[in-house]
Amino acid sequence: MSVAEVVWPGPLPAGADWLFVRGRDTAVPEGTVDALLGAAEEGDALLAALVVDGAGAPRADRLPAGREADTAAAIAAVAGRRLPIRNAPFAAVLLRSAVLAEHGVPDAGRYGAHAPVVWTARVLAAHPGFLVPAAVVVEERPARQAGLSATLRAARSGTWTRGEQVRAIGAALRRPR
Amino acid sequence: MVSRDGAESVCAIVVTHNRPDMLRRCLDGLAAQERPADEVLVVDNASTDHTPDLVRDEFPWAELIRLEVNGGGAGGFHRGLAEAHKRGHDWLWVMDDDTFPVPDTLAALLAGAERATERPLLVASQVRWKDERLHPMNLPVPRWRDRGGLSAGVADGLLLLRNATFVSAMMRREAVDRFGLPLEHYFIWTDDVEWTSRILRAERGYLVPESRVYHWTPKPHTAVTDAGPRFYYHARNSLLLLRGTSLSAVERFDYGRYYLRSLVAYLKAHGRDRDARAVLWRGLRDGLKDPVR
Repeated sequence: MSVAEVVWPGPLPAGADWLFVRGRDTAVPEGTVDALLGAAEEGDALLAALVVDGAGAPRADRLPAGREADTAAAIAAVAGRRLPIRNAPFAAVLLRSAVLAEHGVPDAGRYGAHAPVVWTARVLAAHPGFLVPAAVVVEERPARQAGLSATLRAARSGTWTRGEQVRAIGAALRRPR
Repeated sequence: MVSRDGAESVCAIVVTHNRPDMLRRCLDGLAAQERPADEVLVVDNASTDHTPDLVRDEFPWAELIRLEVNGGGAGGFHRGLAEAHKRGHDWLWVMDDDTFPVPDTLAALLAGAERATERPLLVASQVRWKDERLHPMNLPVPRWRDRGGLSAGVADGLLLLRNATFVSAMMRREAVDRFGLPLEHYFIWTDDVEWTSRILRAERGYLVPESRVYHWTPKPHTAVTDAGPRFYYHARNSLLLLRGTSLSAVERFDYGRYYLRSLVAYLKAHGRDRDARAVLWRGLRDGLKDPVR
């Protein structure tokens, strides 16, 4: 089982079985990739680590959205310490490389900082993906903010809930220029 | 209060009304618990059949609280929780008489509360129907918007909840100390959502996946369109909930949309029936007029 580590934003090369995609400001403790790999089951497309701040508190702005559609599946997954997810920012995710051939790569030119969330939403509409809180990474710096035009394009991508659209557009409007 | 083995004490509260066969099976389930409740209270909502005799004759270890007037589920749980709280129990475990626990239901609930990093005021079982599907009337409502809290719960193997139904939910006595009791005047329906939402607006509550019960209703229905005159309580209590403080503004918006859809579904099914329209009208009127608490 081969794993290639890449830093986002950057190219996502095919070749290895898995890609471990991390943010450039993400501190990744030793054992994180093993914890994610250990939680992977056949058919999983993506496993995301829990992102905490410097004080160890979970960072809601860097965590995946839970998959609300199937409560029974959520309960079963939670029993195994995993949560089904609908999208994931690229803070620290283990990605099955095969999905790149199927779904292409995130379009950072179109969606800016939202590109990973929009792209993973498409991937995870077709394949299972999970948050694995046993794998914990640290991000202390604020997340990169997308501009208004990229946010509006992401909001129209059909992958966000109404609440996510409102919050993201609000954040883009508040973004310092 | 301390249990016989030095652990926290649990009082099971079962509310019943004219369903002795269901009650027997429920109490059999409680008797078979690997970790039994320290006390079992059966609140009999003025049954007119042999329910009281059944409890006295077959389950002498359960204490019967007989209400002279049927107070509905809300009245029964209000009375049972008040009594269990007065007796000093640490945990108050509630269920209807058609709830059938399996042998490790309570042990799993307690283990779930124990392993939670953030101390919960409520833990709940997953509720299945006869065919093993999640019971549509008792679907858990996870706190999806709280991504941090949800993640922390998953790390402990627990699903963070926003509210729970009175079908194998268990509250710490502190919940009653701080948030009072369920509201009697709801009579039936929404009383559990109102109370548990009130508790969990700022506190933690979890579904424990290993803990399960069966809710043995005749159909796995959601009760809205075939409720008959009882639709009054849905129409009224939902408005009381929306006027109260249990839900945040965003949650009120979401619940309001669900409520409107349920009214539309009811009208589509029964709108030509004058009596059915009267039921809805009375529910709306009283929901706007009756006191919230």
